[in-house]
Amino acid sequence: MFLNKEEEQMLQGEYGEVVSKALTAIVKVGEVLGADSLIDISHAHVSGISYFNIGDAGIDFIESLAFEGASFRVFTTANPYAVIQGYKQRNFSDEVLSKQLKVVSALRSMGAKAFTCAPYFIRKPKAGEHIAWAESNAVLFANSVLGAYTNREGGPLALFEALTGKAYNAGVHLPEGRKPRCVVEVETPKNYLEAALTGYAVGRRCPSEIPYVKGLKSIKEGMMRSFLAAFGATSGAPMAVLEGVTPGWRKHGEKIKELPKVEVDDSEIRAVIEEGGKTHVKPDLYIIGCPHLSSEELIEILKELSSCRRYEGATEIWLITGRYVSVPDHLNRLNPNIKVLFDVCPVVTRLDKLGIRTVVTDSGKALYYLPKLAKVDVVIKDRYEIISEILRGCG
Amino acid sequence: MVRLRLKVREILPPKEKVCGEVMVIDHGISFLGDVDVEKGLIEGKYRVSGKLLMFPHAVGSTVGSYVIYGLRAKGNAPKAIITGKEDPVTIIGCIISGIPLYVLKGSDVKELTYLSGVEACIEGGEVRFEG
Repeated sequence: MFLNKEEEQMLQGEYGEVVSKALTAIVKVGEVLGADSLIDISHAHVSGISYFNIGDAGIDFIESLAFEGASFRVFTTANPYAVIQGYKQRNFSDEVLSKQLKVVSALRSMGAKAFTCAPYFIRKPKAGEHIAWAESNAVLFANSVLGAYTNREGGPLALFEALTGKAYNAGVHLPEGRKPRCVVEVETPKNYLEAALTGYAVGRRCPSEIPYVKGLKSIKEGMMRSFLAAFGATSGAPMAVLEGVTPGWRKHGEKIKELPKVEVDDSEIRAVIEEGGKTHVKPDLYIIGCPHLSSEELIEILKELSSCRRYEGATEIWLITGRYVSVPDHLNRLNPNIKVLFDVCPVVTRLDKLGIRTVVTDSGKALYYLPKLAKVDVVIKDRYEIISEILRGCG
Repeated sequence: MVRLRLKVREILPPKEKVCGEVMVIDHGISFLGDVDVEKGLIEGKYRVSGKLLMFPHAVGSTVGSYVIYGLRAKGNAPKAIITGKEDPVTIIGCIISGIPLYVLKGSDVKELTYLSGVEACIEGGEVRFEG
């Protein structure tokens, strides 16, 4: 691999041992993936933040980096951490809480600016900008909607890229790596549920390749994020070329006609709902905000719920977002059962340990991951259907 | 008695030769979920502490790199890893844990399970099994 003078010096330890080790990792991974050089990045986004995912070893590693005095060389954000304020009267043990907070403190001390799975609300990269993000929904939004360039990095690698400001120059950093390999025509989703299910189904049909997707041009940003998050759960691809949306989508031009066509029909989309199957079960919790809600989305939901002065339903409501939102005061304190949670993610939280068994959500990504990571059953419904259910529980 | 020499590509070679008892796993392993770092066991039965660990490939989450680091932190790391196919999870895990890493050339790890328990040394792009 070709390295410039600065990179050579980093490797040789002139920027400290941590930087040297971090760059070694990036170079080695880059060599394996066919990179012939490194590139400078402007924004890193680190995943692997929840104590439930990274365990004691992960904490140990991140804490030791911070304690050695490591700091991020570029603007860095991190994924949300586990929900630590509990559910109803139940909480995690002090040990779990303090371990989760250790990770957060260590990352903050190295320079992490925010904890969210929607880092594009903190700092929006421009088209053509090279960044290094982990967290699939953010990677997909950056590449497919904003036209920024990032591979789908893993947690530790993104951490190293944050510490060095460098990424290996391969994959979607190169024009060749951004070409679609199949074409999917979808029916334009009319609501959040359809957006999520369509993404889920497209991901299943294109589990590893970049698809060229027709039919999403006119949907609003929140639904686009929902589509991409669900697609990222069932596919390993780092981007989708969205006709009429992705910067530069036109340049694929005539070549699109030569690509294999993948059909995603209605029955496939319905099948996703039916696999969940537990629609008759009474849920313990509603979750809206996977990925994290935008300011506009949160305000819209809170306005819908603002007529609810006394919520008497047994089901708690979590609206999940990041610190970038600003909510008018009168919408802020609605009801103790309607909680706006910041900087956290229920999907990476062992919800079963809080006594939660069934969750209702509008997210296709949460539908995929909640059973695996949070160990709970999931039912997927449209956002407005959830809001109506909540309003029916209001006194 | 086994006597065999196999070629490896050096991904993260140590300065000196590395010797130890071989442990071969004949299928892909997921570091996240399959490893008990406290006991140094993979899938509850393969003891990897201090061994030359061979497996065809790694699967699963990138958090797996931290599990390799966890094995090191608990004193249960393998002495070296020889994989059939390099992948980012294993590479990063080995770098942060200081574990030598090699990729097997021209042989299939799945066909080498009979080497478990044999002593071997890795040096100069070659593994010598003897014992």
